[in-house]
Amino acid sequence: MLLLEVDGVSKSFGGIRAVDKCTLEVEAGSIVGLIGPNGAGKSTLFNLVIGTYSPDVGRIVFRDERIDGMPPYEIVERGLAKTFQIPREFRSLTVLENVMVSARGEPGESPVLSLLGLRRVWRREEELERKSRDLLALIGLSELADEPARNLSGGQKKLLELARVLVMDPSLILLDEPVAGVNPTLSLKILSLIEDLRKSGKTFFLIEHDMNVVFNRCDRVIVMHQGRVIAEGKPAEVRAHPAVLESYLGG
Amino acid sequence: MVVQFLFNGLVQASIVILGAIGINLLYGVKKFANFAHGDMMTLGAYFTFVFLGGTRDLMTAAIWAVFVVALAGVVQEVLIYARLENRGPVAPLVASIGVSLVMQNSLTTYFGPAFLSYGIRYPDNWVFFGGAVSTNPIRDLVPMAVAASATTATVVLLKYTKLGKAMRATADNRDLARVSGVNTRVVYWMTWILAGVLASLSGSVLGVSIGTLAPSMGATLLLTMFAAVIVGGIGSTTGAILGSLVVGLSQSLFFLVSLVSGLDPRWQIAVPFALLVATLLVKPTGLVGRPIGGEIRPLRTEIAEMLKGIRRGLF
Amino acid sequence: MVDLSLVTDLSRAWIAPAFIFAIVALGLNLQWGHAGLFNAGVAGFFGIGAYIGAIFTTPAIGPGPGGPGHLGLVSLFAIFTPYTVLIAFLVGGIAAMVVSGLVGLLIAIPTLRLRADYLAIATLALGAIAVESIRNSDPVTGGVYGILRIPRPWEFGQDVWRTELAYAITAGVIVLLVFFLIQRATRAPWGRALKAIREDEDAALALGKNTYFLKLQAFVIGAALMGGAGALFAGLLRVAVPDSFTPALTFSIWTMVIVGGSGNNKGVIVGAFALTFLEYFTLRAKDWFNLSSFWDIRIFYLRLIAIGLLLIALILFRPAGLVPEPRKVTKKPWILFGSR
Ligand SMILES: Nc1ncnc2c1ncn2[C@@H]1O[C@H](COP(=O)(O)OP(=O)(O)OP(=O)(O)O)[C@@H](O)[C@H]1O
Ligand SMILES: [Mg+2]
Repeated sequence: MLLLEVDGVSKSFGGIRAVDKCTLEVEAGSIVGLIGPNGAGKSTLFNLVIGTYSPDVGRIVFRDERIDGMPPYEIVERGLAKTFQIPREFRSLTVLENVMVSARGEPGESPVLSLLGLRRVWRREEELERKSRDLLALIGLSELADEPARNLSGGQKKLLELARVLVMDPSLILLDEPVAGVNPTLSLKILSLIEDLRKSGKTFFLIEHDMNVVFNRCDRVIVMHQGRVIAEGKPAEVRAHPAVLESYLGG
Repeated sequence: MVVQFLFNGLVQASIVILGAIGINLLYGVKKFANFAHGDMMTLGAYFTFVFLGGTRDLMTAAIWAVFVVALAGVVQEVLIYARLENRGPVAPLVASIGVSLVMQNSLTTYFGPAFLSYGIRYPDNWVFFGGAVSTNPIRDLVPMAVAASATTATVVLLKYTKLGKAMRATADNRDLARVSGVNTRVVYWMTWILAGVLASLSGSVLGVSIGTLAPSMGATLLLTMFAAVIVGGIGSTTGAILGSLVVGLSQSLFFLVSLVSGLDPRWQIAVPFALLVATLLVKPTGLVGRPIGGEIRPLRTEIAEMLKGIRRGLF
Repeated sequence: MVDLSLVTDLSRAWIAPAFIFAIVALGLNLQWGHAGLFNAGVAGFFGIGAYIGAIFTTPAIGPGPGGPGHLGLVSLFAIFTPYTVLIAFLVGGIAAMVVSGLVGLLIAIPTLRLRADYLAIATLALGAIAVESIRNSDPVTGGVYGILRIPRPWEFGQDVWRTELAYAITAGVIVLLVFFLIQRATRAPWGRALKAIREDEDAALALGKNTYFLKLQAFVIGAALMGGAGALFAGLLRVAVPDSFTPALTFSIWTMVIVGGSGNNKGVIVGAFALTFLEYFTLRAKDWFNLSSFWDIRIFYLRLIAIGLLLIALILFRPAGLVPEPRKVTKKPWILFGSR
C-alpha cells in the first residue's frame, strides 16, 4: 500500500529551486532512504511534506488524502512526524517535558480544560509521563530526564529528537539524519530500534549521508540531486546507477 | 487648497523620512526595532539648543549635535546591543525601551519639562502659483531641503560606497558577510553613526519646524515612523522613503477631509495606525519589502485555523 | 489610638495599586513570560478597561465635562437591589475584560502570524491610539476632563481608612484568585505548550502545535486581565483621565515582570510590589526628606530613569529575572472536578 505520494512538487526560495518537480513514493511498512549531496533539497522536501512550507506546485498525498497546503498540526494529526536535522530542543524545558510537550491531542493543552483541572486530564498526563519516561529509558536519557534540555550534548539532542517524534505515535516518521553525530554503538542501537518499530508496523523515511546505513538498512533508496530525484530503487540497483555514481558517489 | 495640503504632507514626510530611514537601517543590520529612536531625535534637538548657546548659529549647532547623537549611538552599541547579539529580536527591543526612558527623562531632569525654543524669527511666508501654495522658507522649506539632501546622500552611500555594500551584505546575512571578510563590528558602528546622524538632523529640523522643543517631541513621532517603515516595507530604504511619503500625505489629506466633512481633526493621529494595521492585514511585507523570517501564511488560513480550534473545543 | 492616616495612605497609594498592577503584570507575564509575546501597549489595554468600567458604573451627571454618555449601572440596579454598587462594579469589571480582550483579539489576529517585533510595533501603536481616542471622544469619555466620581463598593463614610483598606483587600482577593487560576493553567500542559512556543516557535509548529491559536489564547486572556485591572484602577482613583495611561506605565509593568522573573507568576507579584513602592516613595519623598522644589518636580523623572536603567541591566545581566522560573513546568494541581 502506498502511504505517501509526492507528485511533481517544486519549491523555490528567491532564485533557488530547492526542490524541482520531485516525484516519489513511500510504501507502508518500509524503510526508505533519501540521499543526495549537501543542498540537494532533502530537508526542504521533508519540510514540504510536514507542512512547514507549502509547495509552489504539485501534490502531496498521505493515505489517499491531499495534505499539501495544510498547516503542520493537521498533517501531524493524520499520523506524520518529522525530526530536525539540527536539533531544535526547547531549551529551558526539561528533557522529559520536551518529550511530553510533543504528544498529540493532549486535552490539557486547552486553557479551559486545564483550569477545570479535570481528573481525566491529569490521568492522561500521568499516562503520558509514564510513556515518555519509557521512551527516554529506551534511548538512554533516563538520568537526564529532569535536566533542562539545553544541557544536553549534541548527540543527546539528536536522541531527544527521536524520542519527541516517537511519543507522537505516528505511522510515518521522517527522520532527518537521525544518527549524524551519534556515537557508533548508540547509532547501532537506534537503527535496530528503527528496525523493531518497522516490524510493529511503522514506516520510516530517512535522510542519511552514511552509505553503510543507507545500503544495509533501507528497503528502497531515493537519490536527489539539485532538487530532482535522479534515481530510485533497491539499494543494490541504486549503487550501480550511473547517474548516482557520477553525481554523488564519486565514481 | 488641495495643493497646499499635499505640500504640507511633504513637509511632514520630510521629518519622518530621516527617522524612518534610521529605524530601517538598524532593523536591517541589527535586526531589532529601536524604540529609542524618537528619543535620539529629541537628543539631537536639545543638543542643537545647547550648542546654539555657544555658536549662535543654528546650522553650526545642528552639526555639532550630529556628532553627539552619533556618539550616543555608538556608545549604546558598545555598552548594550553588542552584548545582545544572539538573543533574538525582543531582548534588544526591551533594552531600547530602557534607553528611551533614560534618554527622555534625563533630558527632562536637566532641562525641565517645560518647552524650550531656538528663538528663530520666522520670516513672512512665500507664496507660489498665484496663492495656491503659501509656505514659510524656514519652517517648511528648510526641513524639506535637509531631508532631501540627507536622504539622497544616504541612498548614494548605501548604493555606491564600500561601506554601503558591507552594510547591505551584513543585513542580508551576517555570517556570510563575516566569512567573506566584512568587519561586521565596524559595520554595526557605522550603522549607528548613520542612524544617529539622521536622527539628530531630523530632531533639529523638527525643532525648527514646530518652533518649540519638548522632552517627548521625538517619542510622539515614533509611531508615525514605525508606520512609515512598515507601510513601505521593513528592510528597504526605498520602502522607508515611500512609506514616509504615504503616511505624511495621508495625514495631511485626512486634515483636508476633516475640514470638509466636519470630522474631528484630532483623529489625524489615527491615520498612521490605520495604515499600519491595514498593511499588516493586507500585505505584511509592505509596499516594496521582502518577507522576514519564514513564510507568512495568508490571514484567511490563520483565521480558519482559529475557528477550527474553537470548534474543536480546544478552548 | 494608632494613626490611621498611615493605613489610609499606604492602602491607597501602595498596597491597592500594587495589587492592581500585579494583575496587569500577571497578564503580561502570561503573554510575554510564558508565551514570548511582546506587548508594548499594556497601558492601552489597561486604559480601555478603566474607561469601560467607569462608563458602565458611573451615573450620568448631566451635560458638561464628564457628563453624558455613561450607562450608570449604579442607578439602574438601585431599583432592584441594595447591593447596587457591588453588582455594577462586577458587571463593569467583566465588561472591561471582555472589551479589552476583544481589542486584543483584533490586534493579535493580523500580527501574531508575523515575526515577534511586528506585534511589538502594532501594540505600541495601539497603546498610543487607545489613549488618543479616549482623549478625543469627549461625548463618551469626557475627553481631557475624564470621568469623575466613579463609584466603588465598600464605602465607610468618615472612616476613610476603612474604605481604603477594604478596597485594597478586595484587590488583594482578586489577585489571589487570578494568581490561582493562572498558576493552574500555566502549570498544566497548556502552559508547557506556550513555553515550547516561546522557546522555539517553528519547532513547536512542526511538532504539530496550533501555535497561532495558542498564542492568540494567551494574548487575549492577558489583555482581558489588563482590562479588568483597569476597571479596578478606575475605582481606586475614582476618576479616569487619559493622562493616567502613558507609555511610562507600560514600561514600569514591564520592569515588574522582568524583575520578578518572566515566567514566574509569584515573582511578578513581588515585582509589582517593589516597583509600586518605588513609585510611592517618589510620591512621598518630599514629605520625608524635605526636598527642594527643584528635586520635588524632578524625582518623578529620576524614577523613570531608574526604571530604564533597571530594565537595561536586567536584560543584560539577569535575563531570567531576579527570581528565575521553576525548572519543571507542569505540576499536578488539586483536582477540582470529575472522578476516576
Ligand atoms: N528557508 C530557506 N530560504 C532560502 N533558501 C533555502 C531555505 N531552505 C533551504 N534553502 C536552500 O535550498 C537548498 C536545499 O537545501 P536543503 O536544506 O533542503 O538541502 P539538504 O539536501 O537537506 O542538504 P544537507 O545534506 O546539507 O542537509 C539549499 O541551496 C539551501 O540553501
Ligand atoms: Mg538537510
